[in-house]
Amino acid sequence: MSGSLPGPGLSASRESLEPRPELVLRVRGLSVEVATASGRIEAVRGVGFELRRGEAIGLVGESGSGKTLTCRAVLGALPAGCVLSGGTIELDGVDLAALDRSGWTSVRSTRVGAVFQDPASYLNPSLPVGEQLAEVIRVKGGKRRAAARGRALELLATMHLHRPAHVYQQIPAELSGGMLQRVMIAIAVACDPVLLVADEATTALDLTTQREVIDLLSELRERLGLAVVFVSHDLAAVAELCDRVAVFYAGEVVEIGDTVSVISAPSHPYTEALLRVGFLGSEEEAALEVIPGRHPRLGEASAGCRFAPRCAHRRESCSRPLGLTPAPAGGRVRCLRSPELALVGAELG
Amino acid sequence: MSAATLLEVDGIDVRLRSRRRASRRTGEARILAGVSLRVAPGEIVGVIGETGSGKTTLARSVLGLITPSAGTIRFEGADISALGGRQLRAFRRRGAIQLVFQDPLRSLDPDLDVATIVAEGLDIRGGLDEERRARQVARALELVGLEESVAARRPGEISGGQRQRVTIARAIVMEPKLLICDEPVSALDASNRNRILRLLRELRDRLGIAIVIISHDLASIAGVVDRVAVLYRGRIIEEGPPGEVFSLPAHPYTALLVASAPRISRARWRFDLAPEQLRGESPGAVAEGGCVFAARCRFLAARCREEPAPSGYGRGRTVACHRAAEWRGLLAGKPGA
Repeated sequence: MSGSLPGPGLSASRESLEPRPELVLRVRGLSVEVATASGRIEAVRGVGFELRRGEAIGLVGESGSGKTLTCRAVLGALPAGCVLSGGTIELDGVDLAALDRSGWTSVRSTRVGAVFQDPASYLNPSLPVGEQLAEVIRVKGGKRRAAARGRALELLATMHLHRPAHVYQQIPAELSGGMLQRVMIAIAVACDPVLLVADEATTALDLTTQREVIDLLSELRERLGLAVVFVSHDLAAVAELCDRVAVFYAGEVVEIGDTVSVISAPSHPYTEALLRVGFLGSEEEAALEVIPGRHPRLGEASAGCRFAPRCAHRRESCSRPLGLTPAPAGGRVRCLRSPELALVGAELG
Repeated sequence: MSAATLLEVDGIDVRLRSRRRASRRTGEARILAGVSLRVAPGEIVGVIGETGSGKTTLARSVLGLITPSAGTIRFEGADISALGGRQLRAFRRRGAIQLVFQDPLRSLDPDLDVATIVAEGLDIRGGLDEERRARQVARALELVGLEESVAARRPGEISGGQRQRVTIARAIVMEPKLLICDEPVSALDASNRNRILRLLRELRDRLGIAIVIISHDLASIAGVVDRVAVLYRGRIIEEGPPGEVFSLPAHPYTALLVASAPRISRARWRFDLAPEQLRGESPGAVAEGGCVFAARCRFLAARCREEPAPSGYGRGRTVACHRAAEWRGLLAGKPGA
């Protein structure tokens, strides 16, 4: 599937040739509040995005930016003390935000799969991984024991695990981090979900393994038509996999658009800053750029542009509240000054 | 050149008894095999290696926490791998080699304030009056760019970037000659990562400290190290200036590593191979004693049954690969590989 394309994330043009695939996920006005000693504080505000069959969107931002809470909200698995305070999450036209606990559980087990950063903690350490996978297929997919075993072996092979029959018998401690993550992906897609949510799923892996897992996710997108929400603090990892990217800052989406436009022609100064600090590896690069100041803590955000205190382009008018507006490159941006700024993106080779 | 060497690791072997029941093979695992590494005063050297490469074992050996079964480790000319008992403890108390830990939240005592944490090494070494102790702690905090007010806080009350600075302050307060940093920035976002790397470079410039940065990630060392060594399954398989090694890797494993690293812009790299052009799979093709990368190498040849020794590859570079000079040519001959 690799061909001559520079990377899966850079192949958005392919879509324009075909009719648009059907909508899988539509998130609108999503807000999350966190209970603190001093009352409830809004941690995610008004987040919206759409995802079609076979598409991948990357949610990128620093810790505390709201990307993980957004993805947990989509999974109906917000941490204790957090509540969904507004918005809708439509999966195949059904609003998940209106579901009760058991409704969520059934959606999570069959329609949505999830992979997280630390696969070992989601597996039983003393059971062979193949049996755990087969169990999921048996219980959630309603298959008989023998059929479940066959399907599990097939899935392990799909995940490019060598000698699937051997891996089937191994306990988690006998597998490497990359192999465990493949097992988790197998479990996540076991019941043919329409949506896969990957929350920092490649962050803790070795570089070569990380790339293999990204390539695997990319392949599953194409082969199974899986829609993917990929959460990462690493914009470069997002660019490798995703058609589209949503940049989070202080609980809000500050820029959203197709990956190629966002990284080659950013419209928000924060996106530009992220690109600048991420440029590494070229010889002339010894500047090690930083973004001045720090990301606001929970509840510190101001009414206007939340990035303004760190922004070189800020004006007095930036203290006014503002929403997302169309960006010149085709996406949407939350910046008053974006039409007049000439921001620098990455040169795509 | 050897006169200007601060640390000289020469052909060390570390064997650990295998405790994995699953591996069934009895005996010992060779964690490091003939590893040599030199660090000059004031030099920043990167050691890049993935899980199981032996990078942490290398750090622990240099710190005297593991005794190699072969080879020597010289520091300022003295063989520290031969030290034992009292001499080793005296050497450690002196604090000429300091370790900066990976995870500041877990390596800092949550019940102590920052000033106490930073002073710990000084207190163990002893011999300082209250005033000089306070002065050295204040200077260490200033050197790492922490405000005085941080001194009275506890690790839980400061940010992740500040905590990483505390672990560095705790190391440099001992006035070391060499700092070993094990994954110093892997827990930080890009901006804070660059801040810490800048700080390390600044400490080298101001204090002349030599620094070894150990990481699994290119982004943690690119842009700051003077030299990089690539560790794979206990062997240094390639070494040289980072610009050259990352743009024109000589070893297929280095090439795979660079190709795998996520990048925003391909145009900013001279290196443009894709991982799928470099991945190979022939598990079991080469038995014990051959090239350690053979099972994953796309360019496997009969010669690879013999383990390649590091040899010169242009100016200031070494590589341990029989096919270092030819694999690129093979790549060109495989259209759409």
